[in-house]
Amino acid sequence: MILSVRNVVKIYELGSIKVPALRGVSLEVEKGSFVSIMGPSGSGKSTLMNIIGCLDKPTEGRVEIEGIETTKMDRSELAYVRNKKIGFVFQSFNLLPRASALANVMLPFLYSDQPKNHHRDKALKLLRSVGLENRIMHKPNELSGGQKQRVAIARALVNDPAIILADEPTGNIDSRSGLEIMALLQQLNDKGMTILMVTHDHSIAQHSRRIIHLSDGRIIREEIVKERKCALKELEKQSTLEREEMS
Amino acid sequence: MTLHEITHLSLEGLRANRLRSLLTVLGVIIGVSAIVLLISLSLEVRSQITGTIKSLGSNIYVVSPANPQSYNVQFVTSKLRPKHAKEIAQKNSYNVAVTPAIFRTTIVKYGKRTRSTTVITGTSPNLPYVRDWKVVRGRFLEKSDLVSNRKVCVIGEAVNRDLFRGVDAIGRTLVINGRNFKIIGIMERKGLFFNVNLDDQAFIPITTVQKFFNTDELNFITVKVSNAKHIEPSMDETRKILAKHLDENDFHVQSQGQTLDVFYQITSILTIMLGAIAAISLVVGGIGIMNIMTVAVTERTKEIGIRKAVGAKDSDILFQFLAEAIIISLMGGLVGIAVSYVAAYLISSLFPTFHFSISYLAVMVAMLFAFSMGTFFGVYPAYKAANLDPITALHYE
Repeated sequence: MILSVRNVVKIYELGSIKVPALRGVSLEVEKGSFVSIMGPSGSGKSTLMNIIGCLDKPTEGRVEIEGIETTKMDRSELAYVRNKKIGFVFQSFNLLPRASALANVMLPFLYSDQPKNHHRDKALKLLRSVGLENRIMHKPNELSGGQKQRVAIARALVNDPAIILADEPTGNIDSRSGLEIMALLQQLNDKGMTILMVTHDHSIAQHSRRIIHLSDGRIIREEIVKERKCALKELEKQSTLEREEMS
Repeated sequence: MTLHEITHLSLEGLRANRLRSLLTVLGVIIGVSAIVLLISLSLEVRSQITGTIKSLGSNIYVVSPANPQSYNVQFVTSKLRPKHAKEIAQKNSYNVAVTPAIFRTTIVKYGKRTRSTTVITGTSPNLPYVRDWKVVRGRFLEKSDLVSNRKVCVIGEAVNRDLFRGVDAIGRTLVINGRNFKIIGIMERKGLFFNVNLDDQAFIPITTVQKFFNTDELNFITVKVSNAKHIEPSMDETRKILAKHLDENDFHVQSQGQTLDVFYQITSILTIMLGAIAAISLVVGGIGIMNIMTVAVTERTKEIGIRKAVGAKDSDILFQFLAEAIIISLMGGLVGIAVSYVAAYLISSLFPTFHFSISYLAVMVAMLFAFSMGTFFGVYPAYKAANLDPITALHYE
């Protein structure tokens, strides 16, 4: 089991008012799975992602990543887990604006205690694998939304994480680029990478293998995606249609 | 993170806002150069004063006509006489050399050239030994000159330069107070003693001064002791010898060391005071660093969030921002020191008699102060950055 979440409760205290964001969430994610968390805004999906991603701590409950409990860790240990075990892909990309694509991909290495000899080669290889071999020294403002998200995916992969947490990865890009990102995530999943994705878009969630529906801080339903969409095929279909329209 | 990585990261941060970083560095430059220049200046003044006092000769003490604690110092008439100097030389049980001095200012002339500032010093043959002062040409006064009241003189370097202008003065006649004196020697250059030009002197036999100026009131008796350890006991003996003939308020015995101590105290206070004033400007520079770093932390909140999301520990962020503050202060420190050297060079060029040089002590004090300042004023913004909540920081716009 890569990820185990048990009875997680999160209550925000705004002065004297207590606002429950998660009311006892439990889920398990196996190695190599591709899980979507869906729900309307305010359902607690981002809070759940933050807790799983070691950016926040639950009020109650426990979270284990690769069998290691993260809920009792201090800030420094959580930083270590974020660096080693988790790869983040954010809706707003969250790239350093002054750094090149390569420097952004290499950023997690800066905070890792691994020997530094092959860092650059590995980052270059990852940038090539996401199709950005010609954009290595470009800064984020010189890249399209889809390209920025590819840099973010390359950055997420650089430390060989146990799981990729993608928070609305297609939320800020056009639909074609969105499909390209989904194709990339599906390819990674096919190679064995575990992916947990938050989305409010049902058609995007259909690219994963399992969907967890969240509402008011509780899991209300789980479904296995029977007919999983293949982003690559959708892209080919779109291209054929475009070619036909042109002719 | 390695030190190299932290430095690289911090320099990148500073480069991102070049003008702002430069202006902050400027504050430190002004503070550091103020410290270096003012401390060096006061240390230089101290070394010039001590140098001047030491230039009077080594292992010496001076008997002057009045006790500085008596009220009428200004109007005192000297009761010291040549016989007192003789008695000290004869009766002091330590190995001493004694030279008396009578000073008179009068007009000296060579041909049509005149000088009105030259001090005529009536003294004895052992002055060069007592005062560590060499004769560069000719000879100094001899016993026979004193015995026969000879009209001979030894001139200082300034008198030689101004009146003779390259002509060999030895054997020529110098007119002192209307009387002809044969020049027998020229002294080496000695420089200024405070504002008195020691080279603007003409030495003549003390007996000749007594005769022509009709006075035997001594201005000073200088005593040289062969062993530095004997200065204090020898001074005590001299006091006892003089007390037999004179009232204790009619003379004062003070060693060079005592004079030095007084000036040391004064210049130490001066150094600390000037250093403290300059330090205030560096503190202002430090507040500038804190201000800029606080702004930088706010501006770069999102960056901090991103770094934390990919695994930066609180300490990594702390060191990154602290290093920026320290780099600003060290850069300011180094440039400030360079500025001080340039300023010292310019001051020395403009005032050649004032050999102004930068003190290493001042440089070290300033660098240490700048470094501490950067650390002290950098800690708060860096701590603020390190303790940002990753989620809040990530969502900061």
